[in-house]
Amino acid sequence: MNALWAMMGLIAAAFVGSVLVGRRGQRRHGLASGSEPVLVGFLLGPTVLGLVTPGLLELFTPLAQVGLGWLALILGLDYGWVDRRRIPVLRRIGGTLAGVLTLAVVAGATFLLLRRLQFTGVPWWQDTVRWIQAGGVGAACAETTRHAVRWVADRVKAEGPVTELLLDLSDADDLGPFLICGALFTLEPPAGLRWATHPGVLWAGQIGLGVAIGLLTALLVSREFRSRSLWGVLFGTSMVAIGLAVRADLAVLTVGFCMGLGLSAVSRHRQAIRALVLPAEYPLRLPALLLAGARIDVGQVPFLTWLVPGILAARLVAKALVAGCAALLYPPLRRAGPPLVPGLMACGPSSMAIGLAFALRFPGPVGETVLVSAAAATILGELVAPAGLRSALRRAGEATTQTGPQPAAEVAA
Amino acid sequence: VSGTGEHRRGANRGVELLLLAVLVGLMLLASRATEGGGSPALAALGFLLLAGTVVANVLEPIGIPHLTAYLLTGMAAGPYALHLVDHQTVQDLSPINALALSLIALAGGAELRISMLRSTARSLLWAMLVQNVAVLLLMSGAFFALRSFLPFARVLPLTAVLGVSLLWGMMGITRSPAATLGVLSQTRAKGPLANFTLGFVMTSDVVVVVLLAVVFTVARPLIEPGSPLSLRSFRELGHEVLGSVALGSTLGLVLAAYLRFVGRQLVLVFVALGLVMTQVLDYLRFDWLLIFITAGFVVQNLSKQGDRFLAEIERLGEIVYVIFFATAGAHLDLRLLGQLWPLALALAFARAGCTWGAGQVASRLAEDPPALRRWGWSGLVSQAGLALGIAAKIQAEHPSFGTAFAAMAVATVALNELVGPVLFKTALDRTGETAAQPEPEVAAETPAT
Repeated sequence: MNALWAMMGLIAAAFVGSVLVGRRGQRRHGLASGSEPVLVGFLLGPTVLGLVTPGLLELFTPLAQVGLGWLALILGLDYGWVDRRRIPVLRRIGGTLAGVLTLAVVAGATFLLLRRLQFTGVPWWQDTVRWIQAGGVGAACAETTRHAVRWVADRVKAEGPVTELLLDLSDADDLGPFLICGALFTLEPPAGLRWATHPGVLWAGQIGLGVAIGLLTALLVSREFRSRSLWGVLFGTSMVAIGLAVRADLAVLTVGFCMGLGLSAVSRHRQAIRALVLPAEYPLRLPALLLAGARIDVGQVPFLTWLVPGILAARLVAKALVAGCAALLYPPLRRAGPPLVPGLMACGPSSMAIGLAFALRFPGPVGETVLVSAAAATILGELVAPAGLRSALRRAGEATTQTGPQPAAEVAA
Repeated sequence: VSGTGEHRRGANRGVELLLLAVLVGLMLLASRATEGGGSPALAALGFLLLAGTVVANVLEPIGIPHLTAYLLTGMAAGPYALHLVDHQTVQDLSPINALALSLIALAGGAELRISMLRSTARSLLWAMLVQNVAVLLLMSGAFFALRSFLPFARVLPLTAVLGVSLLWGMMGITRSPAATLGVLSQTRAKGPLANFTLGFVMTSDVVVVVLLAVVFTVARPLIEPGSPLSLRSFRELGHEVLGSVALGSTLGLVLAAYLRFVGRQLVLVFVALGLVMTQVLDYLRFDWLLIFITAGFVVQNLSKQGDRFLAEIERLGEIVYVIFFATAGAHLDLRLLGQLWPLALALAFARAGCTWGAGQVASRLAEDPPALRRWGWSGLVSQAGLALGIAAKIQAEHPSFGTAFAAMAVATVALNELVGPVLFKTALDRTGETAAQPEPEVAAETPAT
């Protein structure tokens, strides 16, 4: 497959992605997590059909970086909001803690597993490569995707405090993983940086760069800029942010997410910007996920058969802890019962984005372990989460209809 | 109130300049602090886009057209000044540039309405004849007259200089559809001058392609004595023009059908067309500028989708023009311009003078209204990619003098590229065709709760 056909394929994928989204920004067809392209990419990639060669993937690396940066920007811009409703502060903190807790449990379990499966003789506190690998896996497995929660809620027409809480928590749990990605990227000195810098300074630098460019964007759009200029300014600043991160081998996800946060926090035009960029999310996400799927090379993951089940088991335990803590703090959630645990296992675009970012930054076993773990968690989530969420919402008494697609009339509306 | 408004606008420009300075500082820091990491093209693209937009906004009050501001930004950021964008990055951005130009050509074709062409047919026909034939001959004469000052022409035999002069004359009749559309997009001008310039610049592309074949055929035996008078160029011309028009018409009909029956995600369709089709069409040796102009023309005039089509392209307009002209600015060889500027200036002056004179003659023959008679030539001074493309072709076909010829062409085109848009915008302002109402600002929302 040459570059031209591959480019056509990616554009076609983006087009299909846009067609699959309804007028209200909700998907009408497909899987709950929205991760179908990962499977297609995996089939086209070197592991199965081999149509997408490693050389071709290299060629599309800048495109993948732009896709990742924009996804992170959109998530940052939308962080703390569900549509036009602001998520209360306590829930934002709760969601963030849920993400960090899952990350810590999965990363810890992965680290122990890796040390047990292949002992290197390096003291645990100096085993940087394992920390990056385990931390990346933790970050990739931390989320509960808002897409799956919304997908199920739309289909069973769920409404009520439990549905709202799940939407809020699943929206707010991205902060931890996206920030920690940046920290993990600095543990191995970036090849693109000329000056040696302490990892802590670099991490703060990434956050600072993203926030600063977000604020700069907000200042520019708050001036006399015309509606046509808005796209130019937004596209320009995001390209600068993504481009600088790529050039210095920093985490595009962290910089993009922080830019979105900074912009969202101070801009008077948040809703206008949101309305402008949100329709771009699915068309962007689709090619990025396709590239993520195509990069999966299970042959590069050491001890695959032990590692992946271990990671998934750790994720299940972590989500059970999250569900338990949430039910303790928020009594109405208790009505949802045990099905809530598999319900929280849903993950998708954010996980795959983290997996792809690690695969691009740490090519080889480290990056592949993170990417394959993200894919495995997504597949497992796809198998168990929709049923779990449906059951949980039904038990909570918030599901008003049986499962099935939305009525045609409503879709048309 | 007016004073307060002026004060506020002045303060805004100050803040924008400050933000631009921060951005330049960030880019300078990045270029010092990074080495051998990822490609710098992404950051450079973003910087050109952003800096171009800000500089255009800041320079607007003093009457500088946006696209001149984009060019200046590119020149300042490029490899010959601040070095924020290096040579390799400029090369890496060429597919984006091709995409931008294809969108500009589509928009140009779609702006051409048959009714508009009919209303200006008499003016267009006379201008087409006089501006192309007379300027070609006069510019050939000017080049011939200046031959003793041009080191590469001085050493050539007289017949060869005649041939090279004809090639230079050919370069003189190329215009810039991108610059014309860029100025019209900014000013949203409507009126006889806007219509005439648009109609002339877009349709002259076909005339230039035909004349190019004629000039190449005539000039070759003069430059290379003994080489036969070959009609090969005409065969290629037939293939190129007829093939491009046929393909453009088909593409236009397909686009119209898409708009009618699907009508979604036009941005993706345009990106696919721009990035992929330009590669395929180059391989097929078609003139893709002509293809896209024809496609836009077909959508506008043979379907009911024209206005919607134009509106969709205009949504991308700001980004497309900034990228195209800022990259063009970064591409300009300022060192070369520094060396050749006296001769380049003389040739650019000669061309502007010939264009003005030809405009006067054509306007009298066509009995144009006074405004057109006075300013009709102003939109024909800009030059850009088409002239440089012809120079590159001459460089490839005549290696003995081609490099020096192309360098001279780059220097002259650079001047025309900078001055032309200013002249055209001034003319539109003076004739009162510039839109009175500026584009609305983005409305601020009520504070979120």
